[in-house]
This record gives sequence, C-alpha cells and structure tokens, in this order.
Amino acid sequence: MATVRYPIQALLGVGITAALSVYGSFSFYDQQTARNKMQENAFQVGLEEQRFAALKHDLPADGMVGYVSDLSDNGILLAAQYALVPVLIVNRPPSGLVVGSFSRPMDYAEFGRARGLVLVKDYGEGITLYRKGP
Amino acid sequence: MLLLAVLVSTAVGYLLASILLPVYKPAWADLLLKTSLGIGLGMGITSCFFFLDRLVIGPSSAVSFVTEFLLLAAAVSAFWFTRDARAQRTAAYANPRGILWWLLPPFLAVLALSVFLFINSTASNPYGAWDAWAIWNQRAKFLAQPDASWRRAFSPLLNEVAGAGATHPDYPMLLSGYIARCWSWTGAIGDVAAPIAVAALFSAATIGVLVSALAIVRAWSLAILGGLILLSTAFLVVGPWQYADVPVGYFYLSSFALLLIADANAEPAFCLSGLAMGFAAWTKNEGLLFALLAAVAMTAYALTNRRRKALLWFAAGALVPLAITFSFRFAMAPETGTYAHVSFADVAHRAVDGSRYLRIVKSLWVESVDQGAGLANPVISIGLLMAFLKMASARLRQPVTIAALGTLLAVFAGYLFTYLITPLDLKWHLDTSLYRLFVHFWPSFIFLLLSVSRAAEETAIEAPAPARSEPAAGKTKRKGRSESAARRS
Repeated sequence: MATVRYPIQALLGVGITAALSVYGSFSFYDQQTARNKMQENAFQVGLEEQRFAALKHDLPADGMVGYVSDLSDNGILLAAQYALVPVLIVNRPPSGLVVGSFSRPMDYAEFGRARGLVLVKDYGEGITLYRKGP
Repeated sequence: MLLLAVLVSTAVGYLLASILLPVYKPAWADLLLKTSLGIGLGMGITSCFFFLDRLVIGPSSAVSFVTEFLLLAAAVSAFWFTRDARAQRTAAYANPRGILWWLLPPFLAVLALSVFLFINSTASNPYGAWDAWAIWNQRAKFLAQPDASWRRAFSPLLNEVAGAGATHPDYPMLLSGYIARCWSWTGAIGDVAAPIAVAALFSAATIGVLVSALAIVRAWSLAILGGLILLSTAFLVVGPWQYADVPVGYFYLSSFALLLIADANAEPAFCLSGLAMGFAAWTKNEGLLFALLAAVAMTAYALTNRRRKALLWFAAGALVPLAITFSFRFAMAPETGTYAHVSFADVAHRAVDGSRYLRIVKSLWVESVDQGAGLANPVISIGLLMAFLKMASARLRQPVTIAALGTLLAVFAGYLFTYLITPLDLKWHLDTSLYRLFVHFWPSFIFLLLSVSRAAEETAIEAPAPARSEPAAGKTKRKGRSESAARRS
C-alpha cells in the first residue's frame, strides 16, 4: 500500500485550525455550562403551566379571557398565554372573564373591585378568575 | 410515537434525496448526506402537508396519518422504481489518507462535548429560551389543537395584549407546524420532548450536511475541519434554544451544498436545492429574502451558463414550499410583522442617520468577537487554514461558487439593511437578535469558503510501498525506493 506524506505547511495549517477549534469548543462549553447553572429554569414556564392548570380546566377550550396582574412584565404575560393555550388572552374578552396572576398574596377581591372586576374564584398560588362587573 | 413521527418524516426526506442524488462512495459520506438531508427536508415536507391538511380538510389527526403514510408509500415506490437509474459517483478524497485520520478523534471528542452541552442546556431550560415558548412552541400548541382554535396560531389577537412583535402570528410555519404535527401523533400537546428532539435533529443534521457535503465535493480534511470550526462557534450555544435560527441556517447550507453537488454532474440535485430554499422561506421571514436573492442568483447562473434544465429542476423544487409560504404570508397571516407599518419616509429618514451605521458596525464587531473564544474565532481559523493551504482560485471563479457566495453576501447585506430601517429601538434590536443571526450564516460561510480552499490531500506526496524481496541466506536485502509526486494545483 502506498504511503502518503504531506508537506509540513499543510500539516501545520490543518493542525493549528483543528487545535484552535477544539479550544474554542471547550471554551464555549465551560462558559455555557456556567451560564446554564445561573439561568436554570429562568422563565419558569413549567411552573406557570402547573399554576394555571386548575383554572384552565374551568375555562372553555375556545375561550377568550382578559388578563390582570400586579406586575407589568411582558414575560409573565406571555408565559401565562403559553400555559393557557388554546384559550386566548385579549383586551376585550367577549366572555367578560378575566384571569388574574399575582406574584404575592393580597386582597384579590379588592384588587378586582378597583378595576371593575368581581372575584369568581381564587385557585391559590396567585391565580384568580374574575368577571367584569355590571 | 414521537420516534415513529420523526422516522416517517426522515424516511420521506431520505428517500427523496436518494432518488435525486447519485450513490456516492464512500458509503459513510453517502449515508450521512442523505440522512442529514432527509431529516430537514422531511420535516419541511411533512410540515407543509400537516398545514395543508388542516387548511383544506380540517384538524384531524387521522387525515394527517393517512396523508403521510400515502406520502411514504409514494416515496418508497419511487425509490424502488428508480433504483437502477441512479448514477454512481466516487468522492476521490472523502476517506482519510495517511496521517489525516488523526482529525477524527478530536472531532468525535468535540461532537461528544456538544452533545453534553445540548443536554446540559436543555436540562437547565427544557422549554427553551424566550422565543421558543413565547413564539414557536406557543404557536405550535395552537396549531396542534383538534378543533377550530388551531387557527389562533395566526390570529392578529395573539399580539394584542403583549404588544407588537410579541408572538409574531405572521411568522412562517415550518418549525411550529412540524412540532404541532409531532404533538398530534403523540397526543401530548405541549410535551417538551418534541421541540427538544426537533432542535437536536436540526443541529445534528446541520453538522451532517456540512461534513458529508464537504467530503463529497472536496476532501476529508476539509470536511472534518468544517465540522470542528462550526462546533467552535455560537452554533453550540444557540442549538438548544429551540429557535428557528438553526433550522434556517440548515436550509441555507443545504441549498448551497446541493447547488455545488448538482453542478458537479448531478443535475436533479438542483431540485433539492430549490426545495431547501423554499423551506428556508417557510421557516423564517429572513428566509423570504434568501429565497428572493437565491432565485435571482440561480437564474443568472443558469442563463449565463446555458443551464436552463438546471433552472427548471431548481424551480420545480422551490415551487410548492414557496407557494404555500406566499399564500400564508399574503392571504392568511395578519399584518403584525415588525416592518408591517414602516413607511418609505421612515426608511429614508433612518437610512441617512450616520449614527445608526456606527451602531450597527460596533455591534457587528462585538458580536463577531463573541462568536468565538479569543483567537479561536471561526474567521481566524478559516483565515489561518487558507494562509497555509492557499485558495484554489479556479474553484473560486466557478460560476456556481460565485452565485452561491454572492447570494450569501447579499443576504447578509439585507439583514444589515433591516437593522438600519428597523422601527424598534436599534440597540435593543441588535442586542437581542444579532448574536443568533450569525448562526444563519456560519454553516454556509464555512462550507463555501472551505469549498474554495485547497485541501491538504491535494498537496500529498505519495511514496509507493517498497517491493518485497526474498531474504538470501540469512541476510535481508534492501531495495532503493523511488518517489513520485502527486501535486495538483
């Protein structure tokens, strides 16, 4: 069988490129695993699904609901929408039903009254269901 | 059932690739190429069928199953009846020669590392990063619904409360559609296994296409180095996010790789290239820009090189996915896109704002540096390789290479232009998207640049094995050797 040799220039080019790439991969691995540890479950989407599970069971599958919260974070709203699919969160729900998602215990009924909402049910873990008042 | 769902779509894609491509030697390159193409093309094909089934007949899983098994049966039949017509091709340098086999152990080590990182990242956030659950998988949950609420996936009401750009009901449907299809097979809507599997498969298939295509059109050393370089970029980080960026990068790469393969005496592969281009448009809005520019480049290439048949093959592949994409985009998707209400006056005003150019250049520099680890940056790696091995000028001047590189650069320029005219806060827009948009380009950039590089194999010096001689009375005779050079420019 014929033996094959390569010029040193070719071997250097291939070797240096391979070594740099391997180093880069390991470096990314180190950085990203450290980042993953810090950002574990950063968005808590699974937790939102559990929080909304009982409420979702009481809503019609093709329903549209409003949304209120003590926080104005878009991420929390989008996570709530993800959990509630196929129920749609809208500004003017035809059903008059409004979902409440709260980050801390408070007087949910009073919160609702201040916004023209009547508390229908407290599901625990900061999840409530309101209906628009007369 | 998830495994079955993936196997069926991959089989459809694999069979289509096998029908339209020659049989390559070595077998590993042939199998890797067709399997990797099968994964992505199969996802695209079945995503289209899933969406069309729902549109035309309604949200019935039974209809979806029957359609796909008919599709699989048709693919198997076509594969069987064309088995004798497939050409055989040998990739001259696809197997390792001499010392270059030692590229394999570090490549396998890095591959294992990337698998560990994928698992680590996924375990940390099984629902993916922000856009995964806010956009892609959320719409997939709607699409998978067994009743009329499936249409909420592209309802203008989806953006109403969270604000413009939040959920993007106007985005194309390949990724969400395929995940919804998997969920309709498993009956477990929202289960994280499907989107995780899809992210893993697109990542693996991208590496598979890159390595196998480079091995076939160029050489072993460039193939393995291509894989190593890609796995040293942010591709490693973005893969587990469950976004559409890796899939769209996959389709760009597949389209370019198939162009070069087709140009090398495999004309039906132009059809697969067109199909991949169409699926890029069905994956992300950026893919529409890619499709437009690739179509222009392909047309110019075909007309100036008298390859009208190649253009027909390409158009045949692109027709269906583009038709579905345009129908969805202009007849069904709401006017909720980021640029939906940008006026010509807005564009003109932003285009003459010098500070925007500075901001974009600065972000490009910062994000380019972040794509690697110091000197271990893909641009530096490829630059060094070319410095040692040199570029094959003749290949760079090939019309198909010019068409492909021109398309890639034009798409990149297009991306920068969209930043220039964005109605969103420019810094915010750059900070939240530029890093991962690089992933659209790395696979193709690496493939095209390495395809015009000289390979180490082309500089090899072959020494024939010494002839054997009978030892005479206890002594060993030594014969002289002669060397023959095998240099090619």
